[in-house]
Order: sequence, then structure tokens, then C-alpha cells
Amino acid sequence: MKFAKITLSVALLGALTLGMADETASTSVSVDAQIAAIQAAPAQERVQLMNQFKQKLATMNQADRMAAIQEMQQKMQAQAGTQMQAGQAMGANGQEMGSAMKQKATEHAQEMQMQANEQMTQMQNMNQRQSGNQFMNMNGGSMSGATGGSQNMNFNMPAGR
Amino acid sequence: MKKIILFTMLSLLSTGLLAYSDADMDGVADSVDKCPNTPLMDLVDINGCTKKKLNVSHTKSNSHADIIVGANYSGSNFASLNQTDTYSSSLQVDYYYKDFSLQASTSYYKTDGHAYSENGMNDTFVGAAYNIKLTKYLLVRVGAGASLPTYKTSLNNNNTDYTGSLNVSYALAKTNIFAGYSYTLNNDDDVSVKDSLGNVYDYRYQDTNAYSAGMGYYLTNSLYMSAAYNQSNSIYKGYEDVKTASLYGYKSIDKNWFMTFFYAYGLSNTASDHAASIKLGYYF
Repeated sequence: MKFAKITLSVALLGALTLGMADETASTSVSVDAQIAAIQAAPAQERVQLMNQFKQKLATMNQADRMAAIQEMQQKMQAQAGTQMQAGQAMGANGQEMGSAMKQKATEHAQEMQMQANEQMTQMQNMNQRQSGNQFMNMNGGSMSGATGGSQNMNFNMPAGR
Repeated sequence: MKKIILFTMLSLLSTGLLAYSDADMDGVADSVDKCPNTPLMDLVDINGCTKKKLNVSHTKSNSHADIIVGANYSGSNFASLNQTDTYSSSLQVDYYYKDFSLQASTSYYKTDGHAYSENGMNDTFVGAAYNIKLTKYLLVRVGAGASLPTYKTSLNNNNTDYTGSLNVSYALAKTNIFAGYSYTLNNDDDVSVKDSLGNVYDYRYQDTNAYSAGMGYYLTNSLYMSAAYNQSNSIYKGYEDVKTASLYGYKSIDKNWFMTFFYAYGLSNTASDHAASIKLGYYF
């Protein structure tokens, strides 16, 4: 029963993660192909392909658009040997991208902070559970009904805290 | 004469190619671009000048995930056990869809104490949470989860525990004030253990209420630090609450990678004296 619960949970998370990874991969392949076509195109066709690329960018969500522009910049810089600064080419959009990145990091930090609060309790509970198990092992007890004197584990520090 | 012309043309062509640059990324080389610095999301004509402004989608991706690996330590020095050090490696996976999230985490530990050593799986946590943004600054996270009994205890009494939680986060400018509450249904069986001398040791469990509160600050756009106070009932009946003071940090490395680090100091006898962790995550 325990094994079944764990297997089911892991399978569910695995399926969700793989499903999203596949979606991300297909977007990435398409962007890669467009960038490669732009790089290979003669000058007179490059404007047209770049316009098509921009139209695709406009339909993307913020995170995907940010990633695609960064990829484009890196590849164009590598090809042309220019030292363009990130955001220079973006004009007004540069501020949007920077703001989106900051917001994403802020929201994720906030989420992680709330998880950390709960994980603190989980960790201390686990620590107590392990201490109980260790105490049982070190005292060599065996399961039994209560007879004789009753003692409990002592959490106190030897010299006090 | 033909050779000279051909050589000149090739030289000009190669010079032109090597010098190619397109600072506004509109597909028109800077040398012939009549409108330099065109906004990136403008469609341009063959001269590099705006012919149409695109409407940019402001939607965010609905789904994200992260995978986090960590190295953790906790050390305690209880009267009954003496100094005990526990190291663990952890794995956590989160999946986010809009305001809904799923979480799974597990860890493998190694404990070393005086005349005692043990290793194995800790309990595995699976949970779900829903974020409610009440105002621009106020976020409430409601969660529920289960600790699956993957930890093998000699007491043979470990069962699935269930947790409900409520966290509040108020983020204003660079400051984040947060507080949390969780209730855990501790389903482990009570047991009594008798040693060879006839002494009986009772393990009596209870449900726990846990509280936390603290304040964080974004030192930079990519670095967040916080300090918090945490208090929870012991899982054993009749023992002092577990109290800790903790420091936490989150560092965004780039658009995907991030790190978290954490240190907690035990304020009560039932808490670990020191606990620390460092984690590396990939968010996508």
C-alpha cells in the first residue's frame, strides 16, 4: 500500500513534468529553426525573415519571448562578432523583459520562502522521529506491554542549553 | 585587369561581411540601416524603418516546474543520546499550473552518533497548494499534503501523516513579511518498549500545531534573505515545543538556475541544535 502510494505520486509528477518539458522542447526547436534560417539568409531576405520571427515573438508568453530573444542575441553576436549589450536592441521592450525577469524571480523566491517554513517543521518532526528510533535502538528494548517502571526519552541537553 | 577587379570585389565583399553588424536586430545591416535603434517588436521595411508596431502578448506561461537537489545537516545533543549528526541529500520536484502547485520531496539520510550509525530514506512528502493573491501585495497560500512513511523505524509504527497549512506573505517593495501555520495529523502508533532490565519506554504521539513568522528583504534583484522564528509542538506527548530561529536565502543565478540556503538554531531542548541546508534548483 505504501509502495503503491509512492509509485502513484511519482508517476503523476513525472507525467506532468515530462508533458511540460515536451511543450518547451517543441517551442525551442521552432525558434532554433527560425534563427538558423535568418542567419543563413541573404541580406534582402533577412528583413522578411526577421519580421516573421518578431511576429512569432509577439504571440509568445513573456518567459518564452525572453528566452527566444536572448538566444537570438547570443547567436547573432557569435556570428557577427559584435559586442551588443543585452537589452540594447530591445529598446522599450528591454525594460519589459528586465521587469518580467525580476517579477519571476521575486514570485519564485516568495513561493520558496513559504515552502521553507513548512519544510522547517517537517525537518524537525523527522529529527524527533529519528531520535526516538535511535533511543530505542540504544536501549535495546523490545516491544512489550507496560510493566515495571516507565521511562521516557530525555531531550534535555547534558549541560543545559 | 580582370584579376584586379575580381580581387577588389572580393576584398570589399569580405570586408563587408566581417564588418556586418545589426545593433537593433531588424535584419538590416547598420551600414545601410536608415532607421537605427528601431524597437525590437516593430516590423520594418527594407530600409530598417518601422512599418508596423506589433501588439505584444503579455500573458505569462501557465505552467512551470522546478527540480531541486539539496545537501542538509542537522546536529543534536540530547541528554539521552549525546551528540548525533545527520546528513541527508534531498530531491524535490514542484509543478506549478497558474496558481495551483504540486510538490514532492524525499531525502536519504545518514546518522552518526555515539556508538550508533544508521542510514536510509526519510519520509516522503507529497502535497498540493493554491495561491490566492488577495491584493497586489498580499499572497495567501493554502496547502495540504501527506508524509508517506518511507522512513523505516525500529519502532515499526510509522504511518502516513497528513498536514494542512496556511501561509501569508505581504511583499511591499523590497520587503517581504510572512507568517505560516500548519496542522499535522500524526498517525504513528503509540508503543511501549521494554528493555532487558524491565524498564518501559513509552512513545506517545500527538498532532502538532506549527507557527512561523519572519521578515525577508531583497538585497538585490537576484538575492533575497530572511530571518524567521518557528515553533511547533513536539510529535511526542508531554515534551517541550520545538523552537528555532532561522536564516534563509534565495539566489537567482539566471533565468533557470537558483540556489537556496538555510540555517536554523535550536532554541528549545527538543529542537536540533543546528540545522543547515544548501540547495540547487532548476526552474523552467
